[in-house]
Amino acid sequence: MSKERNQRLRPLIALGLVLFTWILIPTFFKKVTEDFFYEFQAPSWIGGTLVRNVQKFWTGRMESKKSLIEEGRDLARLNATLQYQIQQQDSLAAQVDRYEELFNLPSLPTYQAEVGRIARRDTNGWWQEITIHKGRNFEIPKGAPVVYSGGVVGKVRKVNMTTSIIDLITSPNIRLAAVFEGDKRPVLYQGSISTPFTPPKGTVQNVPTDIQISKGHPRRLITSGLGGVFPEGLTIGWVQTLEASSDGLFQSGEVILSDELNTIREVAILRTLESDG
Amino acid sequence: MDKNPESYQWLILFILYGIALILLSQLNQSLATVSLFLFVNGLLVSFPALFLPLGQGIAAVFLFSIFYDSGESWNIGVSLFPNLVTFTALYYLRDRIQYDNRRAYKMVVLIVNLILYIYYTILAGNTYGVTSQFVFLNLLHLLVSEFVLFLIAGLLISYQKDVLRMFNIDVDASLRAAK
Amino acid sequence: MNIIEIFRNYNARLRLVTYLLLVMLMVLSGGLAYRQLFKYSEYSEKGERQSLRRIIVPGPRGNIYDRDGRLLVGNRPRYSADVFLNELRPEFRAEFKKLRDYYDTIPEDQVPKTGDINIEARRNVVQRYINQVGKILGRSLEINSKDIERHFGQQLLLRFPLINDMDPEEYALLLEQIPVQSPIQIFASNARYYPYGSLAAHTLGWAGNTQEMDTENLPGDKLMTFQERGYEGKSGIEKQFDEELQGESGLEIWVVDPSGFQFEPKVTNTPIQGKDLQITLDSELQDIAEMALGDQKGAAIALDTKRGDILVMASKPDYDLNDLSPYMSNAVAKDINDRGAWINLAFQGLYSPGSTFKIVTSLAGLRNGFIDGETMSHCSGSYTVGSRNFRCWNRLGHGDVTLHESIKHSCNVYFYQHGQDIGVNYISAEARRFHLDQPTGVELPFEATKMIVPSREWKRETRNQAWYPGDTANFSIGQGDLRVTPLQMACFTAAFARKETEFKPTIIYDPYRQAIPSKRDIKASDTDYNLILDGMEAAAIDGTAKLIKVPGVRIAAKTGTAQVQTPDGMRHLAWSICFAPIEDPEIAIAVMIDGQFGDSLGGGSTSVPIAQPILQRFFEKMGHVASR
Repeated sequence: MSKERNQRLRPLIALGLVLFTWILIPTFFKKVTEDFFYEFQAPSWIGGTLVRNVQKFWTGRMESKKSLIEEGRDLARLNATLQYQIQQQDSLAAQVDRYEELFNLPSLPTYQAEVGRIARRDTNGWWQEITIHKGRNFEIPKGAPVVYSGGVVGKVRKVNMTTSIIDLITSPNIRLAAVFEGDKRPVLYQGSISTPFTPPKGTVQNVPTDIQISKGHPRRLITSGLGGVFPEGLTIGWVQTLEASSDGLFQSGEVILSDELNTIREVAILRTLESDG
Repeated sequence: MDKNPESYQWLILFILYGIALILLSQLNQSLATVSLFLFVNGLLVSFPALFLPLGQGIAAVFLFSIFYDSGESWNIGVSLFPNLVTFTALYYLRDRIQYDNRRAYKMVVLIVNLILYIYYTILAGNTYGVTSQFVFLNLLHLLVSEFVLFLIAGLLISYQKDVLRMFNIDVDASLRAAK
Repeated sequence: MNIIEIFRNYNARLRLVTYLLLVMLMVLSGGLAYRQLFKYSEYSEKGERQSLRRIIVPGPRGNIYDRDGRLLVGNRPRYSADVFLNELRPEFRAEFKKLRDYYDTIPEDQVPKTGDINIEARRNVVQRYINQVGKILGRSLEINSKDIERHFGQQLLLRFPLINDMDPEEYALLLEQIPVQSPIQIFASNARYYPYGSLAAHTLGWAGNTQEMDTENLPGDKLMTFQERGYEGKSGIEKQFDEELQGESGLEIWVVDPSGFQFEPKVTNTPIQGKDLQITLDSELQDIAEMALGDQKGAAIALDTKRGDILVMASKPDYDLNDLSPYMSNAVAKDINDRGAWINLAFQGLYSPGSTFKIVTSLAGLRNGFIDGETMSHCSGSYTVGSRNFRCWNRLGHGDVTLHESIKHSCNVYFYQHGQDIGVNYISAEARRFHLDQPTGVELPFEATKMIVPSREWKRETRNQAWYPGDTANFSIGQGDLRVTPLQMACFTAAFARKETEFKPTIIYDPYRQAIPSKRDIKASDTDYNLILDGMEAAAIDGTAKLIKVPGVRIAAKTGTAQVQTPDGMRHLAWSICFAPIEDPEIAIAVMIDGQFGDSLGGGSTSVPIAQPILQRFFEKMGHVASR
């Protein structure tokens, strides 16, 4: 009888013991375990990106020579345009330097982009984040802004040895000081979870009541550069309508983000360079 | 060193689950492009609870929970509590389920998956705040996950058994013998 | 064996105890049932009072626009970084424990009391958050322990501000750099905002912090209530129309635990902005008037003679309304006090109207048959009444003058002489007929009420003195004891232009307001009226008010320069009144400049140049005159 009872109590005792032991384990060991398991998994995600690249390579191999030549030609044209823009950029940068010196202004922060491939994408009901295949090994700084050709991607939340986790701008954990293009007053942008088969979204709040959006003419929401994290002028998204709050103080609205956010493969992490002036 | 393979069921399952989680994350990455997500942890908790000896099961679930947490954004150990509690509850129930009743096992997996999903959703809700999008998205992901599990849970249980059988471990025979 | 059999087998004593227990149980259950069924509402109300707290959030005030829809008063965002002290409770406890552990290691006589350790713990925690904010903003911020304790004791459920009224750049910095999950909340509330700064400062008025808000119609009036401070009008339109401008308060009801910490919102009603108001001021004309007034002390009023709208109401010195929002600092209050800038001279300043009053004297003489167009006077530069010599402003004299010339050149001798004929009774009666002894009733607070239209009775009653001919001489040229406000003179001018005796000005704009037909109750013949009018037109053409000219517009004007004798010496008041166009008056203006001691002011040289640009722009806007 008592043996049978003991037998029945065994799972409960085991459960209690395991949980109790877990509670007693010092946080440091838990952290080490977490890092160990994490770094153990990381190569598999990075491997996944390599596999996808190979897939892409083989898909490319299937293309006909003719289409490849056409694409090559397009790329050459694009390259020429970009080269020209780089030259313009250089002359503008020199002009800015001159003005800074002339008016004794503090140097604008300059950024260096570190390109990273997306190794993992967690855009579910719980998280809105991506993992890239560069971490401490590439000196990725925590809190750094992450961008792509279409604008803002998010902000680095955690840096591991070989990977970094980025909070996407669809995450409610991301809050930016944004401005409407052509206006200087900062408004609050915050991510809001994306739903399937619709473009990713965010919300904009504390918009002054005199900012108007006419129907059919969405306004671009860009980074203000005032918040100290993101450089100025990067696209966040587009706002189609604004709704006044009942207290009449501000307006708020939905920000439609680019569809590309769900499909991009590479992002650039912006590292602030130490000012030389 | 114990050469009996049955003593290493926990390790075999842990490795299997590790690979499964990595593959699942790759699958989820592809699904993320359309904001979909699959959650099958219910399956990974249920199998050890239903088919493995107590110690082996606990070890497998313990390791898998920590492994899972380390890849997620919550603190390590968050999954440990619900996984072990559901494991224990299932362990008590397993005598009442016929070991060859696949439909009952499938049912158990779906219920456990549902419970765990709700647990994580409550946790995330506390962090992000509960908005209509949050509820909608989680409901949708839960339904998709449950539907997929409904289709393949039986298959995956058999698959886990087959993997163990590769190491000369017959969980059905062990259960039969225990009964 | 069933339960009854078991019971039967008990001995008698045990049964007694059982019965007693049963009876007690019944009493208990009965009592409980009574409380539940009959006293439920009383207990539930008591429970609610203990467990619910109400927070009143004031609604933003309505906006004020000028007649063209330009925003004169609005609300601007007011950014602050706040924490809810009740959310920091676990941190307070942890800090308290840490401090107590530390104090365990030092001699007992140096250990503070438990209460003081609690205060220190709370201060340390809040200071940590302030440091976090300070570090981002590059500022050194200190928290006052007393503020925390006061807030903790009295306003636990309200936000505790770490930093108030940040500028947009600071707001942006905190938005991006304070994590979303941090207890520091970046909050945007509102403060009154005046896009034009000091423009029409006195007329618009200012709003200060509310002491008590009207919470009558809000639910939960029996609950313990916390109020966030709103704004209430203290002067000008902000005060007069406070009820309309005041927003509808919002409300939050929170469930709190026994120590008063909130843990769950039960009711949330968003506040609603107050009603907007459109006023008659034309901000463009107002700006022109204020620019023309410059640093001089004085007032300018322009009225739409057809509808009664106040187009301009300027008073100097003034103050920047934004300096009073969201609150008035002691330094600002002192500066405004020192400059004497609180007073709206337009309707709170009482002054002798000087020669502009000669229109009233003229009307009194004409209507009562004492003078006509032919009545002459010889001005040699002074006139003797009794034993006193009264001077004309032109020491050389105007020579022989008729009424027309005396108005055109503002000859005092004419009015000294004929004022004696007309007499104080008629002049006084005429002034009262034009309601110069009463406030105008404009919809603005604190209008002066102690204006003086002197008379024999008035002098006897107030000074116990007889009325002398010299008093009449002074009175007839608008000096002596006569006191009116610039707004009254503007209303008088408008009334005269409309051939009426009373003009009711209004500050509330109604786009559908029609021109009010004239009652024509001036009771002066066309000949008499035109005599004065021609004199005024001549003054505007080549008389004392010749600087008023607006090409293509016929203007009637009158200037005035009054001397004010004060213990410190003599100072001048420079006046001008005008209306135009003569054939169908649309605008009436009164300007008064209160000179400093030693200034040499004149109505024509000081006051008219202020009225002119207002008139010019008015007619440009009306399309009567091409823009310069």
